[in-house]
Amino acid sequence: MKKRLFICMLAIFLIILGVSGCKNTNVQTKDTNVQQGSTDVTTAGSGTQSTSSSKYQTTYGAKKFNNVKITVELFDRSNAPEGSTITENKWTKYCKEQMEKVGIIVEYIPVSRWDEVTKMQAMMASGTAPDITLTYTYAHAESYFNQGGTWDLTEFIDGPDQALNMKKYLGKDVIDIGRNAQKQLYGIVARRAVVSKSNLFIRKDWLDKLNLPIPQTPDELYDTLYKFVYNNPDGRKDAIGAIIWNSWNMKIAFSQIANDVKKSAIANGDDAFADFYDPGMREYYRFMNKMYNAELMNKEYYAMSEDNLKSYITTGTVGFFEYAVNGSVDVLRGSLLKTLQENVQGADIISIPALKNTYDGKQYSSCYSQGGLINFCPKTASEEKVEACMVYLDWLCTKEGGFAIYHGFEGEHFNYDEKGTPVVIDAEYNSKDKDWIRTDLFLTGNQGYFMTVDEFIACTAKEAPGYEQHVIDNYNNALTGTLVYDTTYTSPSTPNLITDIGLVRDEYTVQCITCPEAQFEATYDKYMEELKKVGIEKIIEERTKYFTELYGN
Amino acid sequence: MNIWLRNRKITIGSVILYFSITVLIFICAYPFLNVIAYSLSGYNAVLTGRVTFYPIDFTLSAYRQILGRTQIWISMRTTVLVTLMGTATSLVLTIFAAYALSRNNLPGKGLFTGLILFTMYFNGGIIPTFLVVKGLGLFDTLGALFIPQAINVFNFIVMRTFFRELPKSLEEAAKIDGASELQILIKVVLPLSLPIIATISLFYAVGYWNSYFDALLYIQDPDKYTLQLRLRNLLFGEELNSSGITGTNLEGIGTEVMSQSLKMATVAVSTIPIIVVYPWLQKYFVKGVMIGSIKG
Repeated sequence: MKKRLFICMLAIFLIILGVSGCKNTNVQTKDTNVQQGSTDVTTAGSGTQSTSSSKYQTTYGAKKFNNVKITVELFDRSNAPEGSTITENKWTKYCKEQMEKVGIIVEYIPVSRWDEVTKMQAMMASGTAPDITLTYTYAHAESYFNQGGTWDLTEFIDGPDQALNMKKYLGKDVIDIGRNAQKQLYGIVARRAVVSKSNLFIRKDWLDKLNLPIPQTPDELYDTLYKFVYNNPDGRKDAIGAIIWNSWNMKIAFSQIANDVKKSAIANGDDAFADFYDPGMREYYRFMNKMYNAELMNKEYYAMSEDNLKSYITTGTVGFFEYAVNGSVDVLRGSLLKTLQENVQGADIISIPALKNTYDGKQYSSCYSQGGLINFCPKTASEEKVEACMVYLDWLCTKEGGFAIYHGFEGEHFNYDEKGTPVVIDAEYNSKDKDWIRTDLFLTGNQGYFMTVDEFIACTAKEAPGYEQHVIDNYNNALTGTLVYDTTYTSPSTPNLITDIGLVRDEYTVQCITCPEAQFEATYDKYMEELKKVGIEKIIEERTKYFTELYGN
Repeated sequence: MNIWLRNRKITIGSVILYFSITVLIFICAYPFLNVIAYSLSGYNAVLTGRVTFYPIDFTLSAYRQILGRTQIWISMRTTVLVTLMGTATSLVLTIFAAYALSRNNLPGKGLFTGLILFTMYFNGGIIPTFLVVKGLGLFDTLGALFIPQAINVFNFIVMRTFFRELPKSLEEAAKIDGASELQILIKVVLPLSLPIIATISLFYAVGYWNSYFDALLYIQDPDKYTLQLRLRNLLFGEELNSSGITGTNLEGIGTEVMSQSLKMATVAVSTIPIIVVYPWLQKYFVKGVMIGSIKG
């Protein structure tokens, strides 16, 4: 009897739960429609330039607000130095003071950097998101906008007298990254100071000892690595020819679509997309398979951790590797070259220019998208707050804003050299005083406030005493030839299919590289078949449609 | 040699036994030793992967970097507070619920138990729970870290089973002496239930100590961050800085210590305090689990 009663109660409860769920959905759909309706009105309004330009003044200093309070998300890495917190410190105070001059009160909302998406989703869903919310996942920002949850910023930015500092610093291309297919501006994207992504590094001292030139093609690279391993100049029996930690620039040397912007964009997003869509990838895996079977690669390369890679580099075991753009001398990656030289006298690592493509003989370099994180305004912010938010972002694009936050103040943190490059006075002081927060506070730029790539490279090199030329070469080599940019688009089916695709990719890429050479063709064919089975064609179809709309036929 | 061994009652068998056990202990302890060794080793040794189970180029810089921050100690205090308050609250509520629902004469006992069990299999999800916490005014308060999850259903079941197994005659004797239900619980049942109370306390305490997700969602003020959340931010913040996703190669932090040392020191700092508690409660812990589960 009691059991029956319990089952009945449970059933009633579940029905109520289900019905209430349906109700909520209906309400949400209604809301979405309303929001979309209002978005249309906004778009119509934005067509009239004079209306939009007179309505919102978003250039810093063009308008005095009446103490409008805005909340701004700030990534928290728990790295605030003693005596300050992420929200209460010299630099947040500086920003607040500058904004108070134009009647805007800024409050920072700290969000754990590592869990920003989880927190953002909770805040957006509960209506507690800051007026300027940020994320690196554009798909979320676009999705919120399409559901009517965030502001269309077109009216706030596109007018000829609006956000002038932002337009000057970010440029049209970067601003346009934040637009959807209907050209509505759903977010303000930060500009990357430099888009270089990855580099090919080689042991220069081994090349010299063997009297070999810098390899320019994959075939030359193979011959070089063969000599590194089987005729090692240091007499090492444990030498590893190559570790391909990032495979971006190696892959692009085999791509058959690198010269086609649209096709490259379609194939971007996941290794599996390129493996399936780009015929050149079969040749890439064939090359890797050849290297593996010639024992030029670590036998268990697929299980290697980044710490293992660094260990192989710093003990002088590996001859060639693809790694982060400035990975050889990057302080935060462990100053690998410096450590290597401590352990192996006379050792040297250099980056080399992109290899010539096996298909058309040209050089291509894989690059990040020009956009960094994206800032957007939830609908919980009032119209006036959004206007103030845009002023805040506009100010970050000024010398007094982003430049000061990133580089500090002349005389205190840096001095200009004869070419006008800011040169750090005391790196340790800067580290404690501002560097810990500078990238997170500077919301309209990634990797610093620099007007040009050359400026970035010159300044960055100055910050690495003893390795200036390495830094310069690293960034220049990573930008060799035609640049192939990452895209930020996520097709609708991707979230549902990507897990299965990832499993197939992980299994078969290892099989393709480690199988006997005679079995390569059959293994790669099987890989393609398996990708089809888990629905990759659907994603390629969606990406093709999207990028055809963007780039035309 | 044999005489020497005999005099000390040491046989070949016992030598083999002790040797095997020592090897096993070493195998079990190796991961911990490796963590400690990495956290205490120098830059070059860590980078080149030479560290095994003892520190090379001994240094305390990773610990200095973690423990040298006031914020870590503030978070430590918060975590201790949440652990104590949370454990106390959870224990009181679990005892009351378990005791009441272990009585056969409680009307609707099955229904209440069913409703509680239901929450073990189904929950509201992150967003609805977030809205409830916000609606209750708990957002950005320490209460959000233990009130919404005050009762763990598994612990409740274990405790209810334990109470059910207590001899009925004791309760009847107390009733004859005129004791109320509350007096029976406090004066008869609880003194007999120390093993299960110690066990469940430990379950709760470890849970609260290790929890970071609730703090991530419900806490906004960095001064109220728990230790686990603070360490997670610190650790992954370092990793992100070196991943090139967000910044340049020279963001100015973590230049002295390899992230691996920092990672290992973080593991040590976050686990050692709770590991230290274990041995003191272990005798109750083992006994309690056995009584609670086997008889259930």
